[in-house]
Amino acid sequence: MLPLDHHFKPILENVDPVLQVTFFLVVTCQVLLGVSRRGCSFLLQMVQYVIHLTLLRLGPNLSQGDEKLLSGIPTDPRTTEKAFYLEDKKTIFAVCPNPDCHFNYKPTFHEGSPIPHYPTTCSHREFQGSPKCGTPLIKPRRVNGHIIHAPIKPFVAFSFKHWLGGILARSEFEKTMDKSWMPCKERPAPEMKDIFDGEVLRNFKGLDGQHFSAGGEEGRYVFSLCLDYFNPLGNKQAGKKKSIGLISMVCLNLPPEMRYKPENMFLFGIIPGPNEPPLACFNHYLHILIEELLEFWYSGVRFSRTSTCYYGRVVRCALVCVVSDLLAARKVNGFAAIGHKQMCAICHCTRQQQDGLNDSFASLGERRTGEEIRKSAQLYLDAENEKERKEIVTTTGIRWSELYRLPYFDPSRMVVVDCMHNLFLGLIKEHFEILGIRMDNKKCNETPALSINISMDGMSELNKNERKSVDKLIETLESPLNKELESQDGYDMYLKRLEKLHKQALKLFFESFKLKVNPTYTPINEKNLNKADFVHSILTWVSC
Amino acid sequence: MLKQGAVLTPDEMSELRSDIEHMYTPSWLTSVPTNLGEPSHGKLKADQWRTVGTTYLPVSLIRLWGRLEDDDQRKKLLAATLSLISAVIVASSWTASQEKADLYLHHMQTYLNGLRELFPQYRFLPNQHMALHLAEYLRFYGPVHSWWTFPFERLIGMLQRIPNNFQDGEFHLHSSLIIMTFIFSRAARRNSFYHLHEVCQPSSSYAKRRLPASDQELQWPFLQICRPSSAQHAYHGYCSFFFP
Repeated sequence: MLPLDHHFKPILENVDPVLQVTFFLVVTCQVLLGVSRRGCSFLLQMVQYVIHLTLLRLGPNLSQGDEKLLSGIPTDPRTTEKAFYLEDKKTIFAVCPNPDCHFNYKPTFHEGSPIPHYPTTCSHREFQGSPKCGTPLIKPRRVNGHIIHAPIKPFVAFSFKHWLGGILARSEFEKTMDKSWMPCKERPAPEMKDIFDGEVLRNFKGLDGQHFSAGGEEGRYVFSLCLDYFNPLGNKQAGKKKSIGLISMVCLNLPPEMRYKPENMFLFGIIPGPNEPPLACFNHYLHILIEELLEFWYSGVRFSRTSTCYYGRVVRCALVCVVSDLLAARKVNGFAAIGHKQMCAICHCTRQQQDGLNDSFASLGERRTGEEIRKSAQLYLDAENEKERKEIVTTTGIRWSELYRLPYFDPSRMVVVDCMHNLFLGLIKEHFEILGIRMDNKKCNETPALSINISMDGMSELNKNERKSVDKLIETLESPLNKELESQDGYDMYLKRLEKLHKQALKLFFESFKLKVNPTYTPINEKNLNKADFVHSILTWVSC
Repeated sequence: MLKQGAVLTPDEMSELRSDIEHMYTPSWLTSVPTNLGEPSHGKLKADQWRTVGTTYLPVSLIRLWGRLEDDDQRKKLLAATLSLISAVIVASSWTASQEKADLYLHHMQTYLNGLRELFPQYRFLPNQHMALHLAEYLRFYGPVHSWWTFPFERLIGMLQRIPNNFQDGEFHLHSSLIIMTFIFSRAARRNSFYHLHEVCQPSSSYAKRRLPASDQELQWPFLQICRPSSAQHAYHGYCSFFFP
């Protein structure tokens, strides 16, 4: 049974209203306005001072009650946080920092001690009999003179149970959520207005074979899961590329206008960066969530009190759809990557040879079934080594995903094609490219002002970097730059740009076009020309 | 023969841009950069793509190509474009039904076949294949607003805007702190505003005290930063406490 009574306790009961307002002021500043902890403790001290000064107007001596009021104002803003019960229940896992492993470890606590303990090294084996990973997991950190071993790569996982308890504790929420099953009990309407009118939820069976909503007194709720990777440094085209993942869940039983408010969404965790976990490694994170969901499915979870049921209630939950863009959907559901021959997990369309007229992507193939996908996934799981796994993926296009542990999960139906990424960012964008409206800077190719060909014999003598230099040189020279070269500033700019290239590349260019040294910029040493001499002559040649 | 990636001429492009600039649109419609196609405006958002595709593009293209001969390649491309736009509009409708799913599939297939005829060299993308499957999901799950990623992307936007001063190397640390800040702020919204009336319970012994009249005009600046409904809620909570 999960105790939820703290949600029903009044906040700061029987406390002086002056203190109540002070606490509220500081919490608002800290949480909503983003004032730092230091700023908040300054704020607290100033409020205390202001009250003190105000009280002194009544007389030089403070009464006992007033003294008590002043001493009741804390100096540390963490005290105010605690008074509002803002902490959600969370566990900090230690993730293996090895980019190919990502296995995670739950902390253990010694009796009566709040300090978490983690294993020193990663003992995960990918296959039976294969060597242990062995990567160190923790690093020493000094806290108040004591050395504590903290995880190198922490993963903060929030408890789904506790979050759901918080939602159920709010007045009206539980009632609204129970009401949402109504459309499933009526005859199907021709117009579908919400997800409950759809086929999947209308036919969704519970553990007992009855419709999932028929739980009597039990609460029955359905959720959607979303995984998306994003760049925490912002989406600038030229910016740094880092990728961290966001796993969140939404309660579909809430009406659409409520379910997507940030305070009603469950944020399970953020997959630490800097890069996405490869292939099936994402499963280690999902494992934690799936354990909780399995408990919600088989036995249900009993909450000690909810807003409508004073004496508690059993709640069962199910995950009915996975919403994510095409790339993330591959990973979370264990489907093969996007370039794979059997990239589609919904039907058996294999990418054939590049023949425009028979492209199998332009038509639907034979439908896959959930059982078939599960079987292939089991094959992957049972494989004994990496080579065997690779072969299985090549033939079936399916890897293992923790989601398959949910007995009701149908991977061929419950992984939706996201409309936003697929239509708006996919097809419409692609159609604009087809029409010739280019958004990408690199793809823009202006008509060349002149075309330059360099013989292959000369190129073959250069190394890789020098060849790149030649390409860059040609690219620069082919664009129309006559006008810019007329002014001294423009000339200097190109002079600087070309001087950065390799000398060998410039020399090759100089020799293959049989250029002459520019008489205005006489070289110091005629026999041994330097970079600047080459650039001067090239630019003179281009501008005339 | 049309060349894929170079259909619109510069003149036609400038027509499209001037249409974007001069069209009167309702203020709630997402705005689209008037210099569309130049790199300077950066990446477009998903909603901007939807707006430019379903509002501006059909208007301009029909104006430019609508009167061409029927066997003109561009007229055929116009027809294909319109099937794509119809499919998108049907799919993103606020209601769904069996008929709408069929209609979507029909338009999408017409579009892909049109592309195949016009550009025999065109390589279809996985996205275009998945778009065909979308029809099934309209039947499975009803209208798309229950299962698209817009709300989740908004959540990401909120996370990205959380101020931080961490160094680039510490991404794992960064992410865990972001999430803590976020959860914390969310819980605070929930608790502080929804339970505010409980904070100021009239049952407390202090409720009997009355504040002086001048304090009745107290402004609560923090009420402006939360949403109107919860602000009112909070405000009434406070008022009923102080001025019973």
